[in-house]
Amino acid sequence: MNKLGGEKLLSIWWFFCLALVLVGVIFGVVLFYGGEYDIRSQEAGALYGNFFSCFVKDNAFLDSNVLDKDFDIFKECKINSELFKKEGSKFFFKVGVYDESSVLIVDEILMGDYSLEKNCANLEGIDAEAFPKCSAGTEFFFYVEDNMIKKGYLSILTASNSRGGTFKNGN
Amino acid sequence: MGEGDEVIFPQVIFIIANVIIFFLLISFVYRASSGALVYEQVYAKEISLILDNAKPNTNVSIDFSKGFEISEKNGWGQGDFNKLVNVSDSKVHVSLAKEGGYYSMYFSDLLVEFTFDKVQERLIIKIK
Repeated sequence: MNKLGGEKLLSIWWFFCLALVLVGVIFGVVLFYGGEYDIRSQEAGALYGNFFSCFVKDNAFLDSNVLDKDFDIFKECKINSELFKKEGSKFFFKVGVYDESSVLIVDEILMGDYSLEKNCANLEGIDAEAFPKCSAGTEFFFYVEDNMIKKGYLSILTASNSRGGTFKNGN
Repeated sequence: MGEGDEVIFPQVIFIIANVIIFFLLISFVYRASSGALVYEQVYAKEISLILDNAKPNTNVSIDFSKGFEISEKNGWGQGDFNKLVNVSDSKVHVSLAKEGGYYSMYFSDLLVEFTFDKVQERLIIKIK
């Protein structure tokens, strides 16, 4: 009777069940740790903050360079233009500088993958894995025109769909 | 063999087999959670976010103890720490094993330089 019990314990079925548990745990661990840490929201946020601090300087005044015709957003904001100009860019931004009555003071600046803008608009209330993460908002500033201090606002939209990846070391 | 041996022997094997299997399972989970793959990605993304948020002429120091520990265990980059972390083409490359590593993109156009403090186990990022 006892011998039979021992055989039962060591039976192939017990190890089959154990194997199932092992496969389940390994699958779960690989799925969990193999997943990626998503920093796209933080990237979009950083890009947003970068533009804001670049356009609006001391005491919430618009940087006078912004109104120049030669204003180079990449140079002034210390952003790598190649990432936005190349085909298949993973980033997008749109910056508009408006006066108080919502009239553009300077031309809207937009660069990157234009399809990301549309995806950002579609993202309201949706959490889609393949869609970019966006950061949008308006920021008020003051500027001087005709010796008068006027109020305006910046409209900033930034998007990132940049994911990292693995690489192999060359020998 | 006595009757008592017949009862105890299969149970002992059973217990030992289970202990071995669960030890292997736990060590797999531990290795997976503390391995190069996880930390390469964490460091690459952490550094790229630091670069994206950094202002010029800033030095940032981050804890790189796990990076040193894992790369040492893998026998990689001990003579040249620049193999562990470097930047090129707007990508932060982190490699803690000789097979390869993980990269993360950053959009900042500032000059970056890495120095490694092995004693304090820190990575110092100089942004110019």
